[in-house]
Amino acid sequence: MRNRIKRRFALLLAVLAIICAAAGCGTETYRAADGSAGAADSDAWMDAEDSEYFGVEDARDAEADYSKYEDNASSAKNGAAGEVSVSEGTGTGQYNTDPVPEGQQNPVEPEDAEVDKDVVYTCYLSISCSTILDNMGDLKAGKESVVPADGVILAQSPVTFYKGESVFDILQRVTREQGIHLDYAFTPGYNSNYIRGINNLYERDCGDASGWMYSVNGWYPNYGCSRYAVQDKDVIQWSFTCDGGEDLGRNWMD
Amino acid sequence: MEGTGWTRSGREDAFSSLHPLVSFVYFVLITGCSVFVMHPVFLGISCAGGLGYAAVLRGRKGLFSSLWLMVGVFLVSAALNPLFNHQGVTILFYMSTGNPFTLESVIYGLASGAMLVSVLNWFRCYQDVMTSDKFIYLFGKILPAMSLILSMSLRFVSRYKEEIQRISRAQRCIGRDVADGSAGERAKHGMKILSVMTTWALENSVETADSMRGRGYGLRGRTNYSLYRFDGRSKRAFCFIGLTGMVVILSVVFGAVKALYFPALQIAPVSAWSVCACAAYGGLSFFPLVMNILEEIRWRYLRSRI
Repeated sequence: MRNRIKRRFALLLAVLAIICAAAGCGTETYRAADGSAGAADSDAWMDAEDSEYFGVEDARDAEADYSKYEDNASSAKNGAAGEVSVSEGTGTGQYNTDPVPEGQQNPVEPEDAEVDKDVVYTCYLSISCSTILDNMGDLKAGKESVVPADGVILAQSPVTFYKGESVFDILQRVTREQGIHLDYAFTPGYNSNYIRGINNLYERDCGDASGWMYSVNGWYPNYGCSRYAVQDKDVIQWSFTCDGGEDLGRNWMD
Repeated sequence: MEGTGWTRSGREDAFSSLHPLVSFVYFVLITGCSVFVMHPVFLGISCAGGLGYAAVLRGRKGLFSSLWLMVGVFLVSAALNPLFNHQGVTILFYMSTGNPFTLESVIYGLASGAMLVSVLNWFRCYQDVMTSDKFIYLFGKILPAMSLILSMSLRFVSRYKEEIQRISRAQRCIGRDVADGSAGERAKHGMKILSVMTTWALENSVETADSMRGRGYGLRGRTNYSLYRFDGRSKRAFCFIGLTGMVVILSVVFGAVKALYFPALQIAPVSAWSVCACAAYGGLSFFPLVMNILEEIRWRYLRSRI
């Protein structure tokens, strides 16, 4: 019985995936025609109009640098287990993401990640939706009850984790332990899980450009949370934005 | 069936004998409310009313034949929703995909299942009450071509089904039905029946076109024969439907029967308004049933005095 349900579920997923792929193709062509935004961020809610707004470079420029990307990918893989390379700011990101800025950590694909259970690190995690407090008028009806008075869903707290775990792994474990609701979906195009909602606050719940973003040590990575390998003493912040990151101080021009 | 006041199961139906405008407005109101109002009490009333009236129109046999479909729709909707919808504050357990399975999504699945079943039943009733002649009577002037095409094409399905059975019966008499002979022969017989069917359909369409031209379809100023009168009964029914419908619509607009399923179940508190709305909606949903019962009582009473 369980198997049958699973099989049906898989079938339905396959159908959904085909529909999503078809829809995705549609937006891709639209972007190409628009010629303004090539590499979209890992946040799937960003549509073509927004990317134009954020002034991303031309799509064709981003695609041209293929050889450099090859170098980068190989250097990432050549590193020792669990070690991540640092971007030189030149490579083009894999999976539709922008190049990683210079000096920032390169992504580690979740399928390549090696979790070393012998090495236990500590990081700091917080979850906040305080931007909603300034935009209560835009909040979807009925969601008022899940917004904490101070906007803090999880105050910054130390979390122990194994070397090589990703931001997503840590978020999932902590939310389960704390009984915080979490809804996510794997997005093959970005090879990462996309966080649809935390604590029943979903993407688009507070304006069309609202959703969850994460930052590590103050930097908002331009790739998904399943690809960010957390280091010792990292400070991870999950924040809800109401206008595509502007209210969180994310600088899109870098 | 073709007449105004008879059901498919051969019984008299008082609601069907009302003026087509009354029936049409009624069905627009009731299906609209069934789809858009997710208040549990409303869903229950609409479900019961639709099921009851469908049972009267189709008889016990018709009800049981579609009961499995309804139970299936209800269960599938209730089971599938929590698999894809993870909203809700009450987490029951975590699924193997890692996402939570929440109580609210189960409740929403049940509610939308009830909504689908009630809409299904109301459409079955609509099909029986609003026959194509009534539809053309209502829309023949506003959308002449559209209403003609609609009613003709809707008729094709049942008509072709009937004709194909007739041909099949005729072929069986000479031992050439789809059930006779070997596999190859069966296929051949099936093709033969289809070929006869196609020939008949072509010939019939030409005949229909000629006949309609002969009767002046498509000419300006053509009138239709109809028996419908907006009599006192229809007027009273129209007033009742209009009044209850107004109360229901106003209460929906002003949020007296608002129900939110996410993130937590939030149902508008019971107030004088919401009680009024539920009473009005009950009156609206059970109107055809009550009308039939009253008509029956009146008929018995009149007969007893003879």
